[in-house]
Amino acid sequence: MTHVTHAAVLADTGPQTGFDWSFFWHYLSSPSGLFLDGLWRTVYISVVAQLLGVLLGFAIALAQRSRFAPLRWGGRTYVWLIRGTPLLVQLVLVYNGLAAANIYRFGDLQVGGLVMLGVVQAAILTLAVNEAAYMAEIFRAALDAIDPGQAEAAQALGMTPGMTMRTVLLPQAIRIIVPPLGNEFNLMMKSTSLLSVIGLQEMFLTVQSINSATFKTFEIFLVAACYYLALTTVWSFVQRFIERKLADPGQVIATPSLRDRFTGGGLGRAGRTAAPEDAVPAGKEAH
Amino acid sequence: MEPITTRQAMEKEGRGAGELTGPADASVVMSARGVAKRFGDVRVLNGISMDVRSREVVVMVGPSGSGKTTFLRCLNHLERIDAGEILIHGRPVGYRPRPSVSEQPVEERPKVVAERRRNIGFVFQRFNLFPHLNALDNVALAPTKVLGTPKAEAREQARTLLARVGLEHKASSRPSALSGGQQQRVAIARALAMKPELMLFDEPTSALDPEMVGEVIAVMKELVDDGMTMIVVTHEMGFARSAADRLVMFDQGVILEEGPPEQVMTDPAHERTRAFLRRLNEGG
Repeated sequence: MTHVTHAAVLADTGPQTGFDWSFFWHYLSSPSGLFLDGLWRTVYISVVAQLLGVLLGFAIALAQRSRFAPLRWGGRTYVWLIRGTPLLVQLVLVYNGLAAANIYRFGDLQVGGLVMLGVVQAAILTLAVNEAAYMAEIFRAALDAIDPGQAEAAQALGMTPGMTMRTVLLPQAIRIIVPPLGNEFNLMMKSTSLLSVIGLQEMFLTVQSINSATFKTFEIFLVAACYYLALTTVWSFVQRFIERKLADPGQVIATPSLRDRFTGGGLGRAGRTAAPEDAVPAGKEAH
Repeated sequence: MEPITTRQAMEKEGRGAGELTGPADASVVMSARGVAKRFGDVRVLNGISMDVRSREVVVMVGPSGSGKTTFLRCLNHLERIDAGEILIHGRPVGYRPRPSVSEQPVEERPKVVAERRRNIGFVFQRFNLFPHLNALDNVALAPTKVLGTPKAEAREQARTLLARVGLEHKASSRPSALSGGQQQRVAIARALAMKPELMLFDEPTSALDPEMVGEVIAVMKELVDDGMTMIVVTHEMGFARSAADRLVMFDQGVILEEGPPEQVMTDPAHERTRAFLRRLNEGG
């Protein structure tokens, strides 16, 4: 009996089942202004939060290496607290929690002709603070990975700790940091979808509202997935480019460029492993 | 274990060390008094006292673990000391000046330590060149950053120094493209760029393939000829014999004996020195 009813229902909804290709293509190829707004917010919030997270994370990594014990404890406690709690909980605490407890309410901020919504401020702040904990660990690992002889050599030349960091350690650490940093930014772009819970109209929430108007759930969220994939794909190319730029020409393992891989043009350069150093312009990367 | 006090350290040093020079005079570049240091329970330095005068070349030898490298590293405060005092040109490097050596050493602020290290050159066993910079910039970096020498001028000096160690043609090479011997020569040029009054060498040829030892030793001998004050930890007894004014034998954290290299090498006063030199000959 039940079985029959079920089948009947399926038969009834016949014309509405299946995948609506035209809807999917329409939204994928000509996204609405609303959708693009959401996409733009996703991108710029990710970028700003990541930048702030890197800076704050570096400061925390420095605190953890400080010769003053309270700073070291502070740095470790920060990482422990932030990494130990979910981003989603942090978002709600910062935006809704603080307001509900009448501690702080994020109001809109007017800078020049631009208005920065309170919810955007809360979002960027929380994402940056969250990201900083992970970046601090990445910086710590990178700095620890550098041979202690490097800092000793710099010290022996009369460099102060600050100088040593800027001219010797950081340039070497950056090369180690880029791959995990790329990972972090990839996660960051996807994490912005959590901002929907505090009512920020980024890509995910935009898609949700389109969904509630059209009920094309599968199609519209697939469109969203495609756009997230596009963002992370573009980023992975940018990351590859940065890594290539930072590589030590003496240690580059001859990896053919994308073009060479398609055209086979890179084969002749297989012997580049020990690149002729003298080809590098003198002092190009110094200071 | 009871903590090492300076007094105890002094007593210990009295047993082992050779004749001490008198109170510091102007020609004394480095003066150590009762230097003691421990790593946990291990006493690595047990009261080292030693003076090095301007233009003097001192070679320090001893079995591994005898404290020679640790002592060398203490001289420019790459290692802390627990007791005693090290003065370079009459001033401590890593510690605040104190009225009495018996007081606990108090460390200086990093900025002050950095300033005091400027004219002490240090050459490491593993070179420690900056891998992200080419040879020229390795040499020019510290003068520009620490002394504020204009970049063009620092580069010019660096080129001259690289020429001096025979590596002008490698100016644009990264360390990864240089042989061990070449890297060590760049490292010496890098130390010289700060115009040091004292050069410290920590086993500068120990990490090198045998065929590259000669080129580094040759550069060091040129420095000796130029009148550089040098303290060298090495097992190159040939260098000690031909270039050193004094050979200092370290053993178990004290100076066992010291004297002209020829004398210590041919007629050591201690059986342990004799045994050490014999092992060195057999090994080499």
